[in-house]
Amino acid sequence: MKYKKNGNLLVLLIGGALIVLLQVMLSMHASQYEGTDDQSVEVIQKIDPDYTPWASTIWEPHYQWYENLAFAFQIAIGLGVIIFYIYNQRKKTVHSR
Amino acid sequence: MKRLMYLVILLLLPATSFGMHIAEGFLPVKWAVIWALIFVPFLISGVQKIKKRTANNSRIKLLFAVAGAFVFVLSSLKLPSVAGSSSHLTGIALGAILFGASSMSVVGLIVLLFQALLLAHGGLTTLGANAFSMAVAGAYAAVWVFWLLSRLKAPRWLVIFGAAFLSNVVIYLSTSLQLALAFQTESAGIWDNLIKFLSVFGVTQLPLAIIEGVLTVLVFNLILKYNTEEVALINTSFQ
Repeated sequence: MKYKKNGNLLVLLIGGALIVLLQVMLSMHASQYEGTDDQSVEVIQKIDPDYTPWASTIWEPHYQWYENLAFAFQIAIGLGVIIFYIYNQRKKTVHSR
Repeated sequence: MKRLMYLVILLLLPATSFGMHIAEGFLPVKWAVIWALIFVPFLISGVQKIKKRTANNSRIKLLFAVAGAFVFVLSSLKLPSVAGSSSHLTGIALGAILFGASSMSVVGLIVLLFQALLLAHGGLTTLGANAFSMAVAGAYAAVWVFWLLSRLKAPRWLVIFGAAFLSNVVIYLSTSLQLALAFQTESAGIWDNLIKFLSVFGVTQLPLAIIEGVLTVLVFNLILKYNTEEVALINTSFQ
């Protein structure tokens, strides 16, 4: 029984890790898509060409790989919680049977 | 297990670029302050609601963590859409339906802060406006659509799908309206501006809103399967 439980956890963890890995890999190949953020900035500049942003970001990542990693980190945090939840609930279901 | 597989397949679709936020400094000071002030009461109400709903029940706390994690995962997925552009999912509807709309203001703020500070997406000066669109307008839209479709006795999957779909659409409507209001000029009135901004967001967002609806239904069914009692405790519509 313990072996099966550990097996389930391992499958969930590997699945989660694969999702994060694939997100990073796909991200690297899809930079041709312009985001709606950038498009809305273009519209602002057309409507009001004199508008100058009065603040700028504290810092901006200069490397695409950093951005991919940061998003992967965000996914990993969320998936970690969801995997913990699924594992926890499955364990409780097995115990109650 | 089959549902989990569908979920994983949908999660494998993401690609990259930039998404829904109003960029740092791209909202005039007056409007940045106004939206921040409007957001604060929702945040305070959200903190109180979370405290009340999760008090003394670790399973409900875990459920709230899952709703928050769902927002974390979905808002990090930037999907390519039609017309060669890309945008975000949000994941707000799930938590709003389960825990009430104002509770999502806390989750939304955390996610937007994370992206503003670590990814330079959105910004601190536009945080109030972005948080209002995502975590207030989107969350309330989800709850109201959920209520309306439940009253009409629509099937549960359609109720959840409709709430998530329209929540996503309303978030972008709200962002467009914020920008249209802020950039009114003599030559460009609010409605002209609104159409311009909606034409940017609308085309991209509709297909993504469908994906968000499907994902939310899958995760909601998963939660109902494991936590029927807890869901009924926090939301009487499921009793």
